Amino acid sequence: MKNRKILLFTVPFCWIFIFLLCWKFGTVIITWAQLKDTVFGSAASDQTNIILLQVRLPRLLLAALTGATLSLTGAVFQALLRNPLADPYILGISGGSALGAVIAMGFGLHLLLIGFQIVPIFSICGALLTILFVYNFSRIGNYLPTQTMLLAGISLQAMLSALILFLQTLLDPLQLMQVFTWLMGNIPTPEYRNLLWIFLYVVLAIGVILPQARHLNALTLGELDAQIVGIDVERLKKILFFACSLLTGSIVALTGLIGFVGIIVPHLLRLTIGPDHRRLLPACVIFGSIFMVVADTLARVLLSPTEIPVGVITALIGGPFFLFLLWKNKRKGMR
Amino acid sequence: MSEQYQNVTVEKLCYSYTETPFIHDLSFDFKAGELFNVVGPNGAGKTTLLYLLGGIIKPKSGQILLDGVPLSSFKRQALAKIMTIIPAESNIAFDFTVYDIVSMGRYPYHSPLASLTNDDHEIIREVIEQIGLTKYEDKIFNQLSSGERQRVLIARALAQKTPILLMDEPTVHLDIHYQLDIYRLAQSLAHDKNLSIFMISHNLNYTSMYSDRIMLMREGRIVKIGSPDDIFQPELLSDVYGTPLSVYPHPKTGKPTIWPD
Repeated sequence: MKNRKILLFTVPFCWIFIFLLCWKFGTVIITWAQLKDTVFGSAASDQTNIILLQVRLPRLLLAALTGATLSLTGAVFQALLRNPLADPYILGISGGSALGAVIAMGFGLHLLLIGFQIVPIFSICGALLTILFVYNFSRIGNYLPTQTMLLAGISLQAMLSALILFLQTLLDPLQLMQVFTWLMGNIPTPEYRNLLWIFLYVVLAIGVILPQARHLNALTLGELDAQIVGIDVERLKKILFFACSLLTGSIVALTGLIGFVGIIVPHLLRLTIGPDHRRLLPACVIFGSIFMVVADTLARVLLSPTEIPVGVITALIGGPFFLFLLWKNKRKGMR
Repeated sequence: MSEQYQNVTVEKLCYSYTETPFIHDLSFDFKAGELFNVVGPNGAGKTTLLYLLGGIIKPKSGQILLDGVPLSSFKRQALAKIMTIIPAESNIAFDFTVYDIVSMGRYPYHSPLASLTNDDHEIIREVIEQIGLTKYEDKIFNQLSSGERQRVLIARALAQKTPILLMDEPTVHLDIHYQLDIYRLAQSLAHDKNLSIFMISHNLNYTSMYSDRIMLMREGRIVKIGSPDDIFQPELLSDVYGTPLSVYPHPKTGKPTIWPD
């Protein structure tokens, strides 16, 4: 109980502190005094204001939303599919939403007047179709063989990547360049209007997912066991598939493919606070968001003024971590 | 515990996985205060029947009534307060403790956001002690032996405090001590707490000792329903199981015991 109170105080404090630090860092380093002036709107130079409010802040906020989203969907998929290695990236779901987005961009649909919302809608649909395919393809009656599912996801991801590559050959050079940088996994600097849309999607989906935490606990024992303790599994899966597609699709439309966050964050958190989703899911939102803010800041400053795609950073941390998990599982199997 | 919906009536139940029917036109019932066992060779459709009774799969035709009310009219959460299943086994992908898993038995009694009450925790500790799991309480479920895991699933089912209990070979991984414990527990829950217990079993001798009524099944059909003395006839058993079997009275209780020839 005492620990919980300490956490309630320190976690938001640390979160804000790290966020402010990342806000300061970049090609131009801002001092605490300048940061204070901008935040309180007094006597800051125009240049500092532009850097902080127009360039960095929307990007940091998008990074936070991205991290929260990827970690949360990772945790949900791992429970839903009863597999610690599941995440939207490995199951081909990110690939599905990327294909949806590329189709929308390729046909120039994003240039239509309704503009921005079209690309996320295509990528949300792409995500949903992929989830439904992988899930229904793999399951046999009440039983969901993880091997088949992972293999189906991986082969689907390869096919989707090939389709994306194929579509790219049809694009003109300017579009191609845009799609290419986007696919590498980048946090762009969004307009506040667009950020608001993504924020609404994400808040809606998180609001749907968090109350299912206890149901997810029961579901980790399998669908039969979840039904035994009174959970309408078909309904739960529909809700979660839809919410996760909404999350993955809306984020992928802006940031492209950022891998491994959905595996690293939930796993690190399970190791520290245990597998109970009532704690794990909120923790994924909090820790996932700050993880991504830090990763994106590293992407901005490591080779400043050149930027590294943040997907490269997360893959370079996540790849080895994934291998480590496989190695640990392998040793567990041998015992 | 809800006092309603204790008596189960099955009427002309049919089910098929493929084109060929798997469960043929079953009609039977079992009542409160009764330990009702189902025996029969592999592939007789026992587990399928249990899933039908538990509402996990839907019948092709026929119906299941709980005190006259069709099973299909219950919502999943309401049903989980009336009946529970003890599955043959379960695996879990993450490191939940024994206590966590047993506490899932209290889920049907709360909305998803509510936390467990002190009463819930009392019930959970009580069943954990009843099943002899107290010293495993904080152990990780996945690191237990299959026998210990099976007892955890039994504890979870008891924590649900349902008037109907469906057990799918609950003793299959247990040693003789715990096997007897489970049969005795099932009998006392039926006789002393007035539960209706439907239990699939492969151990014919224990079934003979503890069961009130036995249903013998073969290839999705009922061969015979009756007392242990009615069911455990050497010719009948030899025929159904396809191997010669003899029946002798138990030296102390006089109940039939089954032996290979």
